[in-house]
Amino acid sequence: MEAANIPPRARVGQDERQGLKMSTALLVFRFSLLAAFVCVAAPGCGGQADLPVPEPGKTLVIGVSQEPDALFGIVGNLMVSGDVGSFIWRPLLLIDSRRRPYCVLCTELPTLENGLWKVDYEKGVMDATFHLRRGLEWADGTEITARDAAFAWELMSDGQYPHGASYMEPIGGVQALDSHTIRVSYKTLWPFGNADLRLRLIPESYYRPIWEQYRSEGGAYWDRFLADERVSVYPKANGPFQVREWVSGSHILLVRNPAYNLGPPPNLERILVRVIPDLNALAIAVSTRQVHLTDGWLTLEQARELEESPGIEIRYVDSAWLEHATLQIKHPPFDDLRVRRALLLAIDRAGINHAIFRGKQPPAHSWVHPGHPAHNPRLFRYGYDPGQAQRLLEQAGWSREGDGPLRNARGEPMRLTLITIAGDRTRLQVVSVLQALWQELGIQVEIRPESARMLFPDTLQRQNLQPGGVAVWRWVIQPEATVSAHGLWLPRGTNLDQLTEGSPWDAVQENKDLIRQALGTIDDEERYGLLRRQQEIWVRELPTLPLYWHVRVVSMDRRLTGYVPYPDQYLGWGVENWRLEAATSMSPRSVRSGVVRSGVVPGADWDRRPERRVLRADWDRRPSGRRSPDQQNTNTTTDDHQTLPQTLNLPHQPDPCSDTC
Amino acid sequence: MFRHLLRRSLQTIPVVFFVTVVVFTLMQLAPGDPMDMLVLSNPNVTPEEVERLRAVYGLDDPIYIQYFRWLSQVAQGNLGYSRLYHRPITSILPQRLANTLALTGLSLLLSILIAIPIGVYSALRQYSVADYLLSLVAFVGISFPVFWSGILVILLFSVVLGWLPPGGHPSIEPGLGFWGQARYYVAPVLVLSFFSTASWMRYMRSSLLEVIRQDYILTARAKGLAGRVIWVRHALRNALIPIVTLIALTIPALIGGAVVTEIVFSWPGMGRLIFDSLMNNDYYLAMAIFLIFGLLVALFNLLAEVAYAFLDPRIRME
Repeated sequence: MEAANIPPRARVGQDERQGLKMSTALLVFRFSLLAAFVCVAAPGCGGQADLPVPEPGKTLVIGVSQEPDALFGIVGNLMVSGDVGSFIWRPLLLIDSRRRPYCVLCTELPTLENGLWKVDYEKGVMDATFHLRRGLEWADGTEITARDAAFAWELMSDGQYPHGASYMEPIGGVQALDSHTIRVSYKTLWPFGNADLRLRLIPESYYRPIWEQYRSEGGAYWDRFLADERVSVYPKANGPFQVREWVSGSHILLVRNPAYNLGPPPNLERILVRVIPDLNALAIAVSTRQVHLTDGWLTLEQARELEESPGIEIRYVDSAWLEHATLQIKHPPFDDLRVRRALLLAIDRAGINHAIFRGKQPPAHSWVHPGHPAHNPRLFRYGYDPGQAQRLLEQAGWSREGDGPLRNARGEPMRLTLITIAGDRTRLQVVSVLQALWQELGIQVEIRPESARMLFPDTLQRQNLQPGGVAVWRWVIQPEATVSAHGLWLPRGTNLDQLTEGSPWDAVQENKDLIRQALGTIDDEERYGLLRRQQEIWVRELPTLPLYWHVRVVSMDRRLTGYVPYPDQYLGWGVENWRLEAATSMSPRSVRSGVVRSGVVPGADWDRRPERRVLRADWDRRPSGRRSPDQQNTNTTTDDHQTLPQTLNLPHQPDPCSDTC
Repeated sequence: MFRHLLRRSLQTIPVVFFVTVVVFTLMQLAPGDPMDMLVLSNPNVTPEEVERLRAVYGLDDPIYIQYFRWLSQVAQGNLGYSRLYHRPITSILPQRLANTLALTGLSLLLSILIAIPIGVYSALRQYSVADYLLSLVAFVGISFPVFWSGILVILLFSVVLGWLPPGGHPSIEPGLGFWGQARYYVAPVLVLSFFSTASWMRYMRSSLLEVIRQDYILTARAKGLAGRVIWVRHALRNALIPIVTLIALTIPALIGGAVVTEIVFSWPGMGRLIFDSLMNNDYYLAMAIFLIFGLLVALFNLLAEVAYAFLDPRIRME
């Protein structure tokens, strides 16, 4: 060792003194950290709100995996924003359990018969008139009037509206004819004039001054208006609940709105919406009954595990979420219809449903869900037929020698890239099966997981899906089930082959005519007939490969009654009827924390509890007729569906992250 | 010393500036932009409408103009507006940062209190059964990914034993006392400190073993100093120098490493915020987070230098 490392004797004393200083410093340091711990953990030190401990039976805990982006009734990019917002806001119209529109704030639905819906076929315009119920109040006690609808329209048609002014197309204006009469004018014929769930009301007396203040400042005024806490965090609304506390990243506490007079006051006093990003942690919170209700977050695999948990009920709800494969159909090899058909015939979708989804997610045959009245039941169904697939490929000029790769006449092998969302285990399982099945035909298939951030904006919207690329993802079909030549949910600027002019789907003149006619046909049955015909063209042309329909997994604590999940419905629409039984048999500590020891969960003898009967009785009243208890955990069948809501609700977009993030 | 600290503080300004330039540029070069959310939410939207809104928000300006606009806002204490949460960033960040610092601070404390004594003990009892056992525990700690150990801890303490809540922040149960709130901290702090404890323990052991082989320790023994004095004043003190460096440089990484822990334990900290801001092209939010991280790295580097001066008199800040 170097001599320089030996401390000189003369400095030993200094070392000792500094050693003492160091010890003191360390002591102070440790004590400070200990004090910090005490401060952090001590009540009142962390800035906690002075609220009472939630009373069992009165506070419902809902688990969500994403945090809402805003709670202002007319803004929100995420489905969770709509779910939480549905406790706070009540719109002009809603849809009932059988998906038919009904008046909430209005007295009567406009129809052609009652003269409130007027159509001018010559000019191609129409308007709908709504009369508001009298005596309804906002949370600040002011009356709900027609001016509030006109004000909401003013905000939503503004050039800086966060969803774009075009979001309200084809509405041309909303007028207050008098204090309680609203007229909605449409620029074109629109079949959903009496079922337009986009129509909202915003309390003008409260928000007008705030809006005008930001607007007068210029610049990005809508952003600044929305950034105001009174707007997006603690909105003044008209629903049965209002926001009491929003702790970013943790929870939103909703309490009863004392001014609510639209219906009976809710039985619940509080709703605690807990943000639990990790799905495994969410499943554990459900299993320990710390969370009473989740809707649409848990995976099928988790649902299967939770079915065994006493005190938890799992339901599978049909949804119009179509899992499909997007192809570039103007480019080889997918420009050949025979190739597209062969690829679909080579997929054992029934086998995938059986093996991976336990029969819960059936194969899809068009973009219209079998539960929708516009569904065409006589469509050709592509079954699993690898022999036929092989023959079609040979007809298309693709052949193979022995077990070699499939090649075209120029000797080029068929190479496909299966793209799906990274981190989604179920999708990876499905694409692995697709890979294996297509490889059996001699196709070379590579799997490329992509993050949702890449897949949607880059690969799909900006046309970076290369020829030979097959993107597997979920497509949320809007309730009206109409499609356009430009696309379904994808915007007009999207350059996917299947949606652009000149594609096989777009080139069919009859298809173009049907699209135009469907959007201009007021009569439901007539429009459904057009859509059924259009589905035949879809199945013939296969602009995308339909794979299967998703189901929504709903987990419910059996102490919760009154919540009946339906397709296309936001969570809180019927909250007035929900009831939560107090967990009387739980220990105080367990009640407070929600933690219950495994194996001694109260309610393990649930079959004898009255709520079970209530739920079953409720289920039995559904249109499908009686269901045996064994069918409780199966999908709501297509027979359950009578009608679908006919228009949009809050901004309701495909949620690229809900399965994965 | 004050002048040295001031000089070093001023030196951090160009470093942080450079970091923000790089991060801003990288984010701009990545696919997508904040308008993607608009495009996804409105099927009626036209490319012209998107372009118009892009102009309103200044997103069509060259990158350097956007950067200097952001920098000028930050200089005025305005971190900007989160397009994801529709709120000013200053209304989101402080609460999240405080939660993350509480979590990482406690795990840091726990790691130091456990790792250093155990590392010393391991070095003192080199090649003993206890040393092998502790080494095994350390390797296990280093090898276990947080998302896995986190779920295991939840299963054990929440589901099986029912002692702790399975995640969340104490603010969801207002009115809790000290122990009630502390229960929410136990599991995430344990998991977060597990990895750093394991690695610091190994470093401490190695560092001490190296020091005790130095000649000056031999000299100290030869002159008849007591064993405790040799270990504490001469060996431990010198062995702590690299550990202090390590700890100081690990703290920012610890905050970054808390991302997974926070997600697993539903802890409302910076972790989820980073993920969401990047996934949703929320430039200003991401920039604010990286700015804070950059400042934290600079701050802890500075603290490490101060700690050197206390620990090693040969180092002078002049």
